[in-house]
Amino acid sequence: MSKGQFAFIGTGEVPCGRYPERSPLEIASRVAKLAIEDAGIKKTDIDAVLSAVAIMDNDYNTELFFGRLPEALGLRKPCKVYAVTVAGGGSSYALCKTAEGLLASGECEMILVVHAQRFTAYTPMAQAEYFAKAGSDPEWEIPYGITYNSLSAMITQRHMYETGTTIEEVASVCVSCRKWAMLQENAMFKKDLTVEEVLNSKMVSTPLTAFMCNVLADGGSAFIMTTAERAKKLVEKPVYILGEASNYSHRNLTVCEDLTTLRFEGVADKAYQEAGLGPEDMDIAEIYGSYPAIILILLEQEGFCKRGEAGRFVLEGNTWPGRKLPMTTNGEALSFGHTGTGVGMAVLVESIRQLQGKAGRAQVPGARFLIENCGGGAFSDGHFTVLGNEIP
Amino acid sequence: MSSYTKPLPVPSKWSQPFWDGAKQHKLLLKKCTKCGTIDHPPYLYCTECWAEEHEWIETSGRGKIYAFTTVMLGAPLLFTDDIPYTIAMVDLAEGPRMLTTIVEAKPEELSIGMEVEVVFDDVTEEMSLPRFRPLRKE
Repeated sequence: MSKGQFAFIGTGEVPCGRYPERSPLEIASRVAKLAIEDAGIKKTDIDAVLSAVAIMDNDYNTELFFGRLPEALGLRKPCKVYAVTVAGGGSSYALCKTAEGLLASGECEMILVVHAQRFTAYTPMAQAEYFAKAGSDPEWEIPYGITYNSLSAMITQRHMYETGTTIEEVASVCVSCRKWAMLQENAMFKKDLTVEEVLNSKMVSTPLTAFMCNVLADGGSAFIMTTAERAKKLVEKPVYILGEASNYSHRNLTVCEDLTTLRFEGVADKAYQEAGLGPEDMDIAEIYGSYPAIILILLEQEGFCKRGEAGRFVLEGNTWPGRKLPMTTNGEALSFGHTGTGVGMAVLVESIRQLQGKAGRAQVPGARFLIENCGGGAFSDGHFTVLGNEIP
Repeated sequence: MSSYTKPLPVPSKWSQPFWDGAKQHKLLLKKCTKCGTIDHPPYLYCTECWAEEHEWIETSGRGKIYAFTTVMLGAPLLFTDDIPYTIAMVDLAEGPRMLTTIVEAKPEELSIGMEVEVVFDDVTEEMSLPRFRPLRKE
């Protein structure tokens, strides 16, 4: 990829929360139509439909694999390509790379990317069982009663131990996410939160309390991607991909040498370099960490804070609306809601909205550049993207 | 017949010796005989040099706690009665880090860096799980 070669031109999203009556196909249909309308294009412009999977939902996924979406969305003509791209929580990035490949090949010009998830089709116990197993190794971890939260809890504990970050600082990340979610129409949790409330919620897996763990939710979103050349002719503010970088670390968290960095060292720097920008140029840090301590690690690894200083930075309120560094402006998994492979999609969609000036009450005035990230597995990988509504 | 209902490891072709060792209360690790890398979890090939040739070395069974957490809520269904239980990552003296549970100690007695030693929990006649407890000074 060369800098500013590809662009996003529109997004769609439905409210996140408990909506058992809304099927994944209904979600997909609604977000796809919203995105196409938002981009101001015709449905006949779409020549490829890419999709993320729905976690746990074999029936819907099978429909995706058998090409349901283009037909159901009325996109048979001129759709040439459909595909399902899966990289767990890193799916938004994997979908973008797939779209970039299709655009670069010249085969496709206008790509619709869709995610839909309905967790309420499953009991809370079934969801807990799934995530206990999904995040962990069946031979080496599951026999010990591992949970996804306990993996994150150990990262939190080790980061606190090595850097001196306090539990109040960790809790303050949840507060910051909530401040932003309160400005989001589609967020699941919109009631203000204090550090004390986070710390006083039920202990889940020491030192993580309930409000530090995310809640699975129904939701979905979509975006439209095309070449920068075409985007400029179609919309007032295309959002360009300026720089990208990735790393893979491990499957089993025990294989990751350093839980205080998750081996993200230097990765974001490569994305900045490609963009010709640095952390000081970023108007927003759209961080997807899924747990508060991971967000602190990412703030440090994205160059916004020195090691061990992210916690105090967030506790002081620097990442709240209207403050020094707007961070995670949709509230992310912790407040917007955890939609499986869609958390990264939602953060990307919010990133695009911000740079298009369409973020409503959460709009960061005059935002030009931001860094956005996602990752999947058991904190297995990290993907960093610098976006801008101009090419510097 | 065993009354143990929790999930058991299902050994692979290349991890079977680990579990055979555990049954004999030995903590074994897979060591590449070409480059000396110790892999845990073990895989078919050495993850460093891709050699298939290997040996199983008997470890000291000792290590230090790298991180730990006590599960209080939201345990997998079959582990609910065990709450509170403490999951830990232990850095073995031989190098690799292992996920396990800490037994024979209260959570408040534990700390990062604490020396621990393996104990084997014979959960069924066929399967023993290595767990760790604070090192007992002789």
